Amino acid sequence: MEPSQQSLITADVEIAGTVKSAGAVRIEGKLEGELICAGDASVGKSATIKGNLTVNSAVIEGAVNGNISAKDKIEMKSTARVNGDIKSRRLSVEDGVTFVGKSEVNPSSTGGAGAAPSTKPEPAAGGPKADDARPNIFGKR
Amino acid sequence: MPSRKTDVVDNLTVVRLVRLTREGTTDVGAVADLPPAPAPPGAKAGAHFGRTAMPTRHEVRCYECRYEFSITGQAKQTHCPKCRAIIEMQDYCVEGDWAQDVKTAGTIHIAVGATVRDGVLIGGNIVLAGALKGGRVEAYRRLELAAGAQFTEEAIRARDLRVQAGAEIVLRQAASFREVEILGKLSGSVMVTGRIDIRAGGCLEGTARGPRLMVEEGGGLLAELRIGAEDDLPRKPAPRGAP
Repeated sequence: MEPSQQSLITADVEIAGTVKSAGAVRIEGKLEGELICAGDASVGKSATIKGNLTVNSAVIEGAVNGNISAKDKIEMKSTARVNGDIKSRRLSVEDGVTFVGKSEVNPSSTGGAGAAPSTKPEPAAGGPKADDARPNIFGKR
Repeated sequence: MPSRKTDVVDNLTVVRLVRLTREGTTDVGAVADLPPAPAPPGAKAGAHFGRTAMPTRHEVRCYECRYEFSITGQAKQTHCPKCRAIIEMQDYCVEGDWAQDVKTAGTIHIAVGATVRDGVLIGGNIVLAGALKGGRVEAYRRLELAAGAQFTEEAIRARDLRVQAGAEIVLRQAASFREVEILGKLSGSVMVTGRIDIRAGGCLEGTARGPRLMVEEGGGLLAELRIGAEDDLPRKPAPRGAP
């Protein structure tokens, strides 16, 4: 997503309540409440969040006091301070984080609450069978 | 007139001096101004020694008095500078049944299919791919658990732990290490004083506590964690006179 489509909550902004967004959100300020974001969320170094995060993917550099549930990925940078449970399909943690909570990240599992919904369209009735669903490297068939 | 002495006498200066003497020049100060010697035929242009290769440095712990010191280079044996005990530096591989003591500062490899029935195996690094049905192993550096390793928690002791790729290790008791590196699967309760390193394809299940954690993308973490919490960090000693 282009940076122009990213909603920014700057360091001098404090929000009490739920923030919902269909796109990407970057938080540098304070949020006391929930963040529900269909896109990617970035929590900056100066950010403080007291509430749960439900996002597609999250990059955490600041402090989060709440649970983080990501469909795709959670990335904790070295300055991250997370006090809560995390649930995701993929996780990367840099050396230096502070994290107290439960983690539910199992990349080998295909399902699970953290698993993102499949973007593959269901084959229509009368369409190719599963055996024929080979990757089409030549474009249109 | 200022003197033209060379500041550093290195090997190159000596070679140039020899050349100078052969050519009959007596001006020592001209050494630095000499053109470089023609390269021998077949030599690569610009080939030179960029840096000095240093011999490998090994950390050794005396298995008699536990004194730690370091040596450089390769050796089959060394002496403890404190207790003068002879310390073996060779690597050993255990294959088949084994029931004797082994003490070395090198690596002990307990191969797949090997069974240790008795004895104490002390090594710098220990790779356990076989079964440990008696005796015990002590690694003062790193213990590597490979796929198929069989052991009881009481029988192993190590500073660092590494779970190899493909290994599925279950710790029934809480274990404490300095550093843990996970490339396979580790289940249990782990406490570290250094870092927990979960590599891509590795997975940690259970509970973990320590100051540092690193998870590579593709690593799994199904655990209750307490990482870098302030009350878990090593505390600074209180100043003298403090209550």
